[in-house]
Amino acid sequence: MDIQFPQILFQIINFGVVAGALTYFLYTPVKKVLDDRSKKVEEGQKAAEASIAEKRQIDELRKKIIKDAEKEAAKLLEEATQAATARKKELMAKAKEEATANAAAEQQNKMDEVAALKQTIKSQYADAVVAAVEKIGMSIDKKVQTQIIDSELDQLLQRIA
Amino acid sequence: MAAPLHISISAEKIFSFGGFPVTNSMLTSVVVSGLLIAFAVWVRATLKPTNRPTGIQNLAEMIVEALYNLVQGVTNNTEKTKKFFPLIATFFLFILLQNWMGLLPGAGTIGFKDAEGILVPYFRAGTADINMTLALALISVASIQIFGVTYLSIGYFSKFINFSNPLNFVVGLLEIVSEFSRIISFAFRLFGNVFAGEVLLVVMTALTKIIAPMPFYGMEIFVGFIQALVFAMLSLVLFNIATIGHGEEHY
Repeated sequence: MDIQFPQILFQIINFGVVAGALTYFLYTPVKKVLDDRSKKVEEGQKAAEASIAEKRQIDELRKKIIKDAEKEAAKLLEEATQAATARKKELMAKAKEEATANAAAEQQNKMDEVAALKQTIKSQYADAVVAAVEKIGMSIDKKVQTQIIDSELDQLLQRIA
Repeated sequence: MAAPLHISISAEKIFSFGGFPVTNSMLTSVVVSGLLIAFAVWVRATLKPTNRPTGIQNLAEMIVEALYNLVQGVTNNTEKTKKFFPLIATFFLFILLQNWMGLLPGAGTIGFKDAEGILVPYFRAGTADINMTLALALISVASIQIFGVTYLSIGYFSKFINFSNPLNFVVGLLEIVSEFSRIISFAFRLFGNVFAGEVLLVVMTALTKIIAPMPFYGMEIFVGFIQALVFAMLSLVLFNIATIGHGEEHY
């Protein structure tokens, strides 16, 4: 083996030049590009994570709003149902009342009509009886006759009813 | 009849430059340096801050990132990584290319015949020359001391000179010896492996000419890579240990 110090020195200088050139032209600029890219990727990742968190928050808010709206809707529905039930009861009661009143009025009308009819019949019947009695030459007290006829007619109408 | 095998353990002189002998390993070293610098300049010229690197930039980024992560994995300290990385990466790339240059067709076979009729190849793997491996070992061991002093200041030398008790003093002397032995172990490990690989290839080629040497070429490509990695990793570990104070070592 031939160890030559000038050659060793030459190789040391040669290596030094290569190390310097590689550091200046290769390692530093490439590392800078890699670091910048890592930074960019990291920022992008952070932004993506922030977006995901924001989306999650929005989703939660949306769910809450929907839940609240559902609750509100249910409440409104309940109130509407209650109001409708109350209104229904009220209307039913009113209708019943009106119907009762109408029925009473109708009955009253009918009773009035019956009474009027009864009176007409009584009058006509009494007149007919008086006329018939007069025709056969007999005389009759119209007042007494009317009382008898009324009594008879009342019995007759009661039987009919 | 086949020419007799000639294996030279030393790098052969090709020419002199101003009285300075230029050997074939020095020429290979210069070629490798030129290639590395040309590659670096090409990368620098075409480097773009893009998110989708292509071609040469892609390759450069892959190499730089892999080596940076390797250094960071050992130091676990970004500040130290930034200081160690340029030297470790250059060790790896420089030694790797030197090792592989010796495997290229023409290296060791194209040359001229000297006065004795022996072929003197123009190219020989730089790491198959003890002067080159010694130079690398000296750079590595010197860097260990420089990093040690940078991080621990004067306290770094307490591991070499310690008068606290006789045992520590003897240990300090052993540390000094071990620092010098590192130069030898670094230099001879690399030189031995690469030179032995070249000898193996020469012998196999001389014996069989074709096909049979191919697996050995594959193996030498692998050995070239491993030796570059071993040199770089050992330097890295020793740099890191040198920067850790006495009693702080974590193995």
